[in-house]
Amino acid sequence: MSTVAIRAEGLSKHYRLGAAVQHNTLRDQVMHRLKALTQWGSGRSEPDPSFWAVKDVSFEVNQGEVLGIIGHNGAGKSTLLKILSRITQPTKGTVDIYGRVSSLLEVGTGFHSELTGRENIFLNAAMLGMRRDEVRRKFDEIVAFSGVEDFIDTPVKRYSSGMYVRLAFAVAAHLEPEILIVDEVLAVGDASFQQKCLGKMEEVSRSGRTVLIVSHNMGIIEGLCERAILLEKGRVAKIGKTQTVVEGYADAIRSQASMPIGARPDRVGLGEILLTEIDLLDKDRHSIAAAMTGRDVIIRMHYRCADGREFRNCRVSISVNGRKGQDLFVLSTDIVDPAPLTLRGTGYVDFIVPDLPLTGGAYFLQSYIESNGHAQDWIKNVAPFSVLDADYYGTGNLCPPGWEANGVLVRYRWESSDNLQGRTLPFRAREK
Amino acid sequence: MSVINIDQRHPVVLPHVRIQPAKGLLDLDLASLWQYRELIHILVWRDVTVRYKQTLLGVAWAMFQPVATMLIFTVVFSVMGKIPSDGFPYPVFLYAGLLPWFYISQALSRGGTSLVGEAPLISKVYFPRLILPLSATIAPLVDLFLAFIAFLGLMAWFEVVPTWRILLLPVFAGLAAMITLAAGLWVSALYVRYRDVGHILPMFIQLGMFVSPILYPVSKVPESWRAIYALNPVVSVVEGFRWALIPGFQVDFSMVLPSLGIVVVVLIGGLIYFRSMERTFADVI
Repeated sequence: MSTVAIRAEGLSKHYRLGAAVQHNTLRDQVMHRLKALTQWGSGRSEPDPSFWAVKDVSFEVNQGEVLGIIGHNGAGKSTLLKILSRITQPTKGTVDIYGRVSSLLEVGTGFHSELTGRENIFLNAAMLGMRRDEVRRKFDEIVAFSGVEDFIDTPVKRYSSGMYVRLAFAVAAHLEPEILIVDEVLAVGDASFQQKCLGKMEEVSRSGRTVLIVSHNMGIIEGLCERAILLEKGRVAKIGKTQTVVEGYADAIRSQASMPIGARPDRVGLGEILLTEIDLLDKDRHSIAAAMTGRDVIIRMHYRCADGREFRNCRVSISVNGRKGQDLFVLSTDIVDPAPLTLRGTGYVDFIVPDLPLTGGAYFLQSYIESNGHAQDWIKNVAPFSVLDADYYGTGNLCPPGWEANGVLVRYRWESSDNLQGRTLPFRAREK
Repeated sequence: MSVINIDQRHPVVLPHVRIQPAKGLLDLDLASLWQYRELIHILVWRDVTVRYKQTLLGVAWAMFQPVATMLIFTVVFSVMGKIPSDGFPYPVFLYAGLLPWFYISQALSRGGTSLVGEAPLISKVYFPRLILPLSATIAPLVDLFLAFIAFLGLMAWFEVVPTWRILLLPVFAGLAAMITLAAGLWVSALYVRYRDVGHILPMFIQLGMFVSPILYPVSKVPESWRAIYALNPVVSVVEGFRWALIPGFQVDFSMVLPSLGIVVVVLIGGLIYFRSMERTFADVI
């Protein structure tokens, strides 16, 4: 029989946009009161803009369970974690928590730049709720995990950002709460350190502790969690087996990506240059609905500049994301051609990709336009990008199952000790 | 990492926390401060350490500052300004007042800004927020102690021999800490909401020196003003310090009692206000 570690019931958090932002000085507050007073008689009053960051969220997590929380930006994931870690209070609802909680909403919280690595270990650990004798016992282990032994008595302001993050995560990784709440901390550090962190997370979850993870990386969520929650606009859209919930998330992304680009509200940037459309073309510049593995494809990005203006030093780029949301590759005007790009009026940029190295499946595109280093228009999941599977290596074999829209294809050959003839060189590759 | 044992046969009693919208004003939850005592300890240590890191003189600054101030003020106010000091050597009289004043001004400006200064912490980790103004009030006690050591040198120079009353100095230091904490609770919580505090506080502290008997004796305050003057709790602390440190110093203790009452009221009010504002700190900061 399993026992409950966290039980949330009808959890809601309400934010008033105006109150927190606009009245930060006494004068504003007084003016606001006065305005309210004068408008009282006339019966007019501005409605206070407000929204529910989290609304009616209920769920249970059993002891020893690893639960993933996924959703778009602004879906309420961070607010939910903040409520669970007692940083902010819910407006309605209750949470019952059984066990010591440690939450890592950011690594290195409370690090002081003037203090040495050694001193910061004690400071950070105390903030995360570790007892001093516990820190002393694990001190060597923490330092070894971080790999900054030689600099342990150097103020952390002299650390590289990588060292800083490694030390911070090392402290966090040695917490021993019954419940661990983690937010996106894995998005930092180099690949090998990330791997180390993932290993640590798995170890933590296997040791019978309850873990809640928020991440945008579906690979991590699928790898670590048995169950997941999908949040949409503050509500629970889906809860259950990780695989089903992740699929629901992918569906949500797809429906968003099929919206006409001009109508997309979720864009970031100055907006003086806007992306208006994306077309897929084959090598004869005929419009196509889907690209094909191993064939040439042209991704055409149409743009429109603000009236009569000319934008110098522009960069237009598009990147391809796999089905788990992972970045696969980026095509950017500046990388292959150092000549400055100037945009005016309307027009398009073609990215010509010969011999498309992607397996069949549903991908997503992410677009980005900038001028003089300022982001003009950035849209995540701007459009779906379908690829039909074809015989990339000319051998009659398709990619193994599980690799659809997941990873890229590379040209390679293999040899064995018995037969060094190079017979296995892919047919089409040899032709070139 | 070692494995915690959640053994089904011998179930561990896990601590239970219920998170819900707070109700009521009087839930001060001071017990949580005890649970987090190690954090208070380490924050105080951090504040003291960081203050003198990468300085040549290090902690000697805690002595140098009041001594230098005392020398300059003695020249300006005693030699040039002819301000009396109830017949005691002016440097000793002045320094005994500067001791608590340096502490109060430092602790109040650090305590008042302790929440806004730690904004990233407040929005990322949970701990009783009371710990921040509390540890900011405790940390400058170290400086006070060092400045007191320098005072012993001054006493030797002027051949002032302390009496048993010096043993009561910690009581007045505690009173100073209580006053500062009371004010710090209000100021720090208001600062989260109103950034005006950042402008008002330094001015307030600067003027505070003149409405407290630091540079001049209470005997110079007109008799008819004294009742109002005594409402300033800093008066009690400064008079207490002088009474404990300077043999033969006379204090009218009837002036002290009303200000004690004020401190208690402000402190309890501050605790309640702080607790009620605490719920929204992370959202507003």
